[in-house]
Amino acid sequence: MLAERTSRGVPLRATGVTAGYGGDPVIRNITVHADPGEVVSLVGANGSGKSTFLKSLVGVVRVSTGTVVVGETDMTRKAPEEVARAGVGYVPQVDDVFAPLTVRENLEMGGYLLPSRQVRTRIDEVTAVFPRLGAMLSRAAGKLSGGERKMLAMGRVLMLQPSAFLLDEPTANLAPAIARTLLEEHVRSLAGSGASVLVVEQRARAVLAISDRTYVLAGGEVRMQGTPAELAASPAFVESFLGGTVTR
Amino acid sequence: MNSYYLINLLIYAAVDAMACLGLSQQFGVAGVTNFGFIIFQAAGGYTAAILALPSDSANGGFQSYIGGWDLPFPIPWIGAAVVGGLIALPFTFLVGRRLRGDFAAVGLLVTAVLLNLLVTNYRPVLNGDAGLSLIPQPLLREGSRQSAGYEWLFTVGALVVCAAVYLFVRRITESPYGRSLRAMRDNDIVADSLGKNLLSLRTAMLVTGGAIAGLSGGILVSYITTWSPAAWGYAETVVLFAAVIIGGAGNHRGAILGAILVPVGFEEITRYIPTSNNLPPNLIPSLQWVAIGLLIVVFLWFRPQGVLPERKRVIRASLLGPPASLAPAAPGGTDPASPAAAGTAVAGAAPLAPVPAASAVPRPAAPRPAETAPRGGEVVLQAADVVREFGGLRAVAGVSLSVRRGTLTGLIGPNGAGKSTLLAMLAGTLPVSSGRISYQGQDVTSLPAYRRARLGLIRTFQLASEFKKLTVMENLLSSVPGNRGDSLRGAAAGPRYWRGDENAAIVGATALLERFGLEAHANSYAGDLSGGQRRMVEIMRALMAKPRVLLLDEPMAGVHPSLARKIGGELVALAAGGLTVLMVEHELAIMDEFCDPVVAMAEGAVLAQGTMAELRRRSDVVEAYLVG
Repeated sequence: MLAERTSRGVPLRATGVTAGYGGDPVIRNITVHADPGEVVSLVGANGSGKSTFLKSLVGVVRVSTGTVVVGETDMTRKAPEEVARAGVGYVPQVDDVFAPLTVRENLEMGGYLLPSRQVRTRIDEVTAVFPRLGAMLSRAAGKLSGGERKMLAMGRVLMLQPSAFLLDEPTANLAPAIARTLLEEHVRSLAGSGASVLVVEQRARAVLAISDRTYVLAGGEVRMQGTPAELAASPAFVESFLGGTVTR
Repeated sequence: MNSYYLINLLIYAAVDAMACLGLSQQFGVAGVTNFGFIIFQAAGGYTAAILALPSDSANGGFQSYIGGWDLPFPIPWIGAAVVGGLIALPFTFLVGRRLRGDFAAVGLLVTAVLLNLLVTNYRPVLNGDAGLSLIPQPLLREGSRQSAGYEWLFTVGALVVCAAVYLFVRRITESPYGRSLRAMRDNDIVADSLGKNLLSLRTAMLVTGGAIAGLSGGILVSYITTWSPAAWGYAETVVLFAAVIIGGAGNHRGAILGAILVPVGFEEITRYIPTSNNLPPNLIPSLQWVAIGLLIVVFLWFRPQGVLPERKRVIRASLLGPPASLAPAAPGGTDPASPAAAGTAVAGAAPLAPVPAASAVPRPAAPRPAETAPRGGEVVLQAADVVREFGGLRAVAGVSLSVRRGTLTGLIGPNGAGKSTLLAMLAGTLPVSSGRISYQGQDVTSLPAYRRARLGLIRTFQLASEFKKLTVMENLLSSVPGNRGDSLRGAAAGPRYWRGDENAAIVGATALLERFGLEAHANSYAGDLSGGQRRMVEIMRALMAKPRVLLLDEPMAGVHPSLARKIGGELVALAAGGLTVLMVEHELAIMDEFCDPVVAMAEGAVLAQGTMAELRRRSDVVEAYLVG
């Protein structure tokens, strides 16, 4: 569905990224890459720097050293709107929708770079992914339930058919059924269509099941990385992340 | 510089600083945007005038006004403060619970403009636009000449009063009550849900700010001996706001600095702009306003926190001695000394125990939910046929639900099932459209959220709701009930009156922070934490409120799984000690392990209730929730 229309993907490369909010850097020397067609996940404890890293990639947090390259273009220290125009879609963890606007207006806002006649068809395609949204197009986003709000945030970013996708805990407020559908079908199919996908998740087992590679962050640095199979072979990783606590 | 000019500057500085302190308290600390601030100063000025003036037939009867009591100093100044405070009372409905934020600000601005027009155009009461003049100065008999000594005495008096006002607002702001004000400023709905009476807090701020403004007006009038509507146009409020913003909102020294920089310094400097007879006469004064407007814009752009930003209140718990030697720490009586495994919850670190660390309160022997009979004591929280409509939409369509004491009741359901709405109605954040809610045998349907919170019914929120500009420690302290310093009177009584309560609360908060591994962040602003850490702050803050019933809305969303299990374990231990928990959560592993019973909702109604294992066997629950 949405995947079919994503024509091209671009690799996303962060090399030696150090960034923070002014004081000591929150993340140090992080090197991560995601190639077209890949789902790459970031896991780690609360406060380990996962969200900060995503923010540094899209220009919300200033990168002090290191480079961010999207496709062939150096995006280091570019403004967020330039990163978005380069085809990077970002779904933040909080403050993810325009609360006073309706669902339809939110989606239109997400597609404002599209030619206006495409916007309507694109909204139909996105609401086919999230049928719940289709039923409430004229409701104010601020009145949605927590999970519906998350779907809208995803849907808004989907409007542009980004070629690289950054998702910060997309399933945090979602019911298990839709969380699984979101990860297994939508996120996976985004990659299947050629986009490069970088996803931060606490539901480690669920996200490992759809990841090609996974990075483990701790204290603002990459501590481990590998394929899900390699990580599953590490006792320390299993103890911390897969101790029987993830969904089902 | 001649001494009259210096005296003039000093008195204006003292008066403006006082006004800015009042505004800083209202706007910077309590978040009450009072765009009508100048009317309180005006009221004080007029009051001092008509108290000090002889009856209006005196001086040839060229002005007409009410009053004219010819009262001696200091009655005019006291009267100015009292009236400034009293006329704030009618305005509380504007900033109360119904009308807040920008609407209240616009309402106050319009009121200020209307009152100014009214006084300008209605002569009998306060002599209209000509204003009052020949107002007697304190302690001076009519006709006696002002000496330089008298002027200096007046100056010292004004500065002393200003210093007293500074000490007063500082005492209020740095108290637990001031913390409640700042919490309300950061997020009033959350403050309400923790038992803060917003109406009372805002009323108190309007009245004290009004009294300070009134006093400043009284002092000004006694010095310049004249007062007219031109002196208190609504634009004067803008100047005071400019001073507070430029000096640093929320920092009282910043307010004083702002008063010296903007209304005194800036206006004095613009006085030296050369003028000529070829220019329109009002050009230079108008340009002054433009310049002040530009100054605000420049500051909001380059230094929004002001010259002296609000400072962080760092609390060093170590100064109080080791926690173990002090009063019982946390609510519910869990062991403050249990090791803080949470801090090590990083990949590759020491393995985490599958079951939470030892607790002082023993857990029930066999917590396998599937095998135990429905447990718990009497019904403590009950909803009877509760309905909530948003426009035409029935978010909750007739839910009846009983929560028993000492249970961890789970609430599951697909997104949009009405779970959060139900929780909000139980807590009083949202009124019900119909139905009844009873808590501890009492009908609380019509009780506002803060009063339910004071009865021990505490909720958390699904979306981040930490007080961003309070530190983590302050967030925790903000919810502690019964602190003697958490009232205007207690705050005014000074630190010695409430220090004991405060220290006990700090010890409790420190123990809780250590247990959840956040002690290193105690003095960070809560708004600077990561998403998951903010959830932790919110849960800890709810625990500090000493709840009897805790309503948690997706407490584990975004929390690392091992930490989520630790929270679950803590809740089980607290439940064994009598706490009741109703928890919305999508993490089924948490429901499986900790919650019994679990209630499943769909489309605004209760679908089923039972253990998680029982629910998994129900085809309607599986259909609605577990498979997509």
